[in-house]
Amino acid sequence: MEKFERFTKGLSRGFEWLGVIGMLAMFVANLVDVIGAKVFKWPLPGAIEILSFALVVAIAPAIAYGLFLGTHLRIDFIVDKFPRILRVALRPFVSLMCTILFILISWKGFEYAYSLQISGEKGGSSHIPFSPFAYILALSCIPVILFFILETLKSLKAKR
Amino acid sequence: MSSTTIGILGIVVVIVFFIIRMPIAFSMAFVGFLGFSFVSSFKTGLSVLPREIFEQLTSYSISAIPMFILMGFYAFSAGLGTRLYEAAYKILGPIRGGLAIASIFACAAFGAICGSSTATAATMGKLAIPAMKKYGYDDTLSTGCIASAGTLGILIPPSVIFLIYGFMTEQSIGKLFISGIVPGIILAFFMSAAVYLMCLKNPSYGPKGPKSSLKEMVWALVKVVDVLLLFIVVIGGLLYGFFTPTQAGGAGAAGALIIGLVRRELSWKIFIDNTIEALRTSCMILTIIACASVFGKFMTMARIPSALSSWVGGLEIPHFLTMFIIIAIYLVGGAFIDAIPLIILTIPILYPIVVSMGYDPIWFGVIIVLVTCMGVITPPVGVNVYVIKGIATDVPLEKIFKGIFPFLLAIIITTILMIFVPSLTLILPNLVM
Repeated sequence: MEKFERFTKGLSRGFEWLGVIGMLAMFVANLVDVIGAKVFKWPLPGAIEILSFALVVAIAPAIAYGLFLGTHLRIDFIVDKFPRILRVALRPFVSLMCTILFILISWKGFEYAYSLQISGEKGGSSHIPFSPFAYILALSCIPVILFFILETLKSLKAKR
Repeated sequence: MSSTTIGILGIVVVIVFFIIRMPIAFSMAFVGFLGFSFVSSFKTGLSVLPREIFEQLTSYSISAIPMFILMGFYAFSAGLGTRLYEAAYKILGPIRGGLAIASIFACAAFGAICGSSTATAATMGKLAIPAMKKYGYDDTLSTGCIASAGTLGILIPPSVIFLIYGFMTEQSIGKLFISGIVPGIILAFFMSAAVYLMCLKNPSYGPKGPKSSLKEMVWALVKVVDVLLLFIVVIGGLLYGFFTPTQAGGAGAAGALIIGLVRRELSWKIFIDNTIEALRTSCMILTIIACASVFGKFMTMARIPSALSSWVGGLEIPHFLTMFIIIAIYLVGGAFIDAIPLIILTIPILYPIVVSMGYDPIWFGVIIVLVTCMGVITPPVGVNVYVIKGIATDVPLEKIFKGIFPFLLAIIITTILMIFVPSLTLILPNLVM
């Protein structure tokens, strides 16, 4: 279990760094566009699409590590008032629901990305293909799935 | 079962998921998917799930949110908060309760470069609470004051809440931003009045601070000119159409970064750390937005907004009463759910009702933000109070919650004033745009 946790955490951290690259890419593309458009009257071609694609690269890979840090909002104080037995029973249920959700997003995400790849859909002005970014979204669900599997296993172990 | 009944059931189930501690974003996506599958077909529900999330996460208009968050984090690391506090402290410190009043205005000024209430409370809390402790200020006053004044961060532009509201309702971000200035200044004055009255009643709450010479005051003000410049460039550029919201946020982030570099406050490590922190905050907000869009699609499919709109339209009660009910929903909801998911969840449902009653969407945006301000300091969620508790670890949580009440009253009075005198909110947007 510890090995699995270390692996999932490491993978999630790696994905978060991809997110940092996406965030910095957004910032730099935005800056180049602003300076280009306002100072040199030459905006970055396809800036809107570049920024939009960089947004998915920034956000989707950062979801998993946010779960380890507890940054994703949940309402804690109501469950805290529940009897212990109910709390213990609810934990694996919630983790399982989240696992199912992300398996579905990932599975259908890969299908969606593949359909974009086959159709060869590209950004109108940047001519950047959509599919790699849809693949990034689908791939980013993997560490999230692993996190929730880990959570489910941990909560079942705690139950015993 | 009619689609509207399924929609209502969906709302109940999503609340149950919130209660059992499922992450808010994932609850909305999961129920949205289930509901969509129920109303249309399982196959359609499955295909909507990744498509909707992908479309939201590749939307240019929401890219403004991470840019403004980045600006706030870079502004913090550039030490802008410290200089703002010092300037306010030099000018207002010598009066009774002056340090607390200085903190309120420093929060208002920091709110002009940072769009988050928690970031504003955290930044000013780290500076002001130790200073107030040093001068013998009562803990109830000092902690309650900073937790509450932090809310000015979301009222005075730029504001993450205004960005989300503008994105969801397709209102002008520039208009929304500028509409928060007058209520923000009024709220800062009301909060200062609350401090003054508290100290008048109980002088030991906030003793006078040391006096500064005129030269010191002027010098402290000169040191914050860069903050003013940054605000003018970002908000002015946005208002006059020189920048799109995303460009304004990016320019602001770059400006804060340059100030930090020139003043030698930034290092490579601080830059990377703040970028990561900005990414984590952005990820939390944008995940909620993306997942909520799945739920929103289900609500639209179940015809909930239109059914609710026509139901409210058929009620024989005055419009202002309906408006008070809506505000009450936000007040009660805000006490239990964090501000951002509450707004994302409710705006698609309640906004059409507000518009159909003829209320100004910009004015409603300000009211929503003001009500949100109450939500971030009231128990049990009161996120700002927990932020301050993290700084003032020796002060009991109950004491901080007790301390927010005079300031909560100030927010309530400001909200009532804005409801009955909407021109206070709309004067600047009408004047400038």
